[in-house]
Amino acid sequence: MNKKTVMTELIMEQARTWYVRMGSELAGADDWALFTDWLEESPLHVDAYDQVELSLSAITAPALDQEPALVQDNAVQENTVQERADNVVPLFTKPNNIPENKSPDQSVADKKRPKIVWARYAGIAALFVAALTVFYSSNFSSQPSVQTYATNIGGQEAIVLADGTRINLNTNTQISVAMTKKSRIVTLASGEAFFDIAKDKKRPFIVNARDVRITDIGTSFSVYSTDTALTVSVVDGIVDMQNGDQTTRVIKGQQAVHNRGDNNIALRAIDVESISTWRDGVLIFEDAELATIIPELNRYFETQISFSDEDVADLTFSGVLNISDQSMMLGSMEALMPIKSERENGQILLSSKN
Amino acid sequence: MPNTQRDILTAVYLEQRPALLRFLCARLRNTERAEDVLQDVYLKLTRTNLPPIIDNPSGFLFRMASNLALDHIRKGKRARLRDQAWSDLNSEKSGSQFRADIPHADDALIAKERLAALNTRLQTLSPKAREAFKRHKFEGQPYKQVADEMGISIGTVGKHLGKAIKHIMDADLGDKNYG
Repeated sequence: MNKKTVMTELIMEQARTWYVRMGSELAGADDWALFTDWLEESPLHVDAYDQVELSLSAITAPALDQEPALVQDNAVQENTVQERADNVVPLFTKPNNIPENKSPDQSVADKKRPKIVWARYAGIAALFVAALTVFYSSNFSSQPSVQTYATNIGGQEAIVLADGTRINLNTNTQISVAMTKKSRIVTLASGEAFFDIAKDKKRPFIVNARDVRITDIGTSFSVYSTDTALTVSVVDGIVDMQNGDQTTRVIKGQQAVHNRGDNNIALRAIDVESISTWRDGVLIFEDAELATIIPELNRYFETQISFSDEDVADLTFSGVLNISDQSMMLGSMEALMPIKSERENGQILLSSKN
Repeated sequence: MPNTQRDILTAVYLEQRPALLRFLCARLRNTERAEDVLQDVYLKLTRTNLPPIIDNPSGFLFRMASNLALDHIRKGKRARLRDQAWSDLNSEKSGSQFRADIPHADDALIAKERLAALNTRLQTLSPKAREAFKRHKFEGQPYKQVADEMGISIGTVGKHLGKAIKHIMDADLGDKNYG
């Protein structure tokens, strides 16, 4: 065995130890943080872990294609909490190069408070009635402080950042905000947000949405991100959209659409009055087919609307729909179009009236 | 009724999001792909059926993230191998180590064959280690259940699993003359 082989074997042994440790249903956020530390230490660690996981991948296909088996009945749960403190220690063969201050033993001590943690989560869940939750993530001092905001389906929220920037979140949306001395970066993880940016020449305002970076040049605009497309609509001022090495400038009254997997960004004119009307609880449609309207409306409600026949899909609609109340919205649609709605199996079915 | 499983998980997800992202960045070595997988985690937890009781919700989320990251790695590897099959023909990488990920007209058959090879390999493992490995990996039993039903400690379960994984990997790397 030469030195390199010994090194490789050593790292492999660590990788296997971590694999076994992380495979435990008892591994908590603290353990995952330590594991992340180890992965970050060296690319060789990641390589080794890849090898461990891939060598077992034959099993992944037929037998383990489901979520980890963390389901337990209540009777066992009581015991599990006890077991953690007593039994978890010997499992963690200490990987060789973990610094002392990240000792696995410490995380074992942390495990003695699972119940309290659980109670806290239940409390947090209760707050969800308010539709918006804010969490600070200061766990990792090496990272800039990131603040996360989210809305549920049907929720909306207005946020004012420390610099005076206003952000409106539409339904089912998630963003994170990282403010540093040199930049203001928002990541739109999903959904739609409207930005009214406070000018600050020293700190550019950047919105990252999937593979596109939007840089603001003092303006207000909306960004809507779905699995298939990214849409940016500018109400005032100018933004630059950057994907790869291509930059597209979008100005007031323009809408830019970037389809996923396509490098082009298509520009078209748009009435600024029609941008982000959801902020006022309404959507405006002009000569739009129900087939395109329904998916748009369904973004706002848990109870999904579907239609039974093609005749309904082909109907066109022009007008304003109230998205703050689903029954009211359906009432307007029934009054303005030859359709009726029925509730069925937790869904709403639209069909022709005649 | 705000305290549903999904609400609790969503709350934990939001609290753990930076830590999940940090883990995924480290695991996938790519921020963009990490964001994608994180998004998949979110979709999965908001759109799919969840187990009725989830003890350790943060662990559940991290493992979900870890599994989805592995899917991503395997898909990427498969695509890369497809593109570069010719260049790898004579290199070490065409060795058995990555054999499972080479695309094939009949992936299911390959998976079956690999599983059979794995089973054969397990025959030369100590019975206790084999049993622990099969219970956890094939039947999806949590460590606690394996420990209880085999009448051993959770720590011993971990030791058995580590031994089994090394045994399997040694077979995979056999032709590479390690040590």
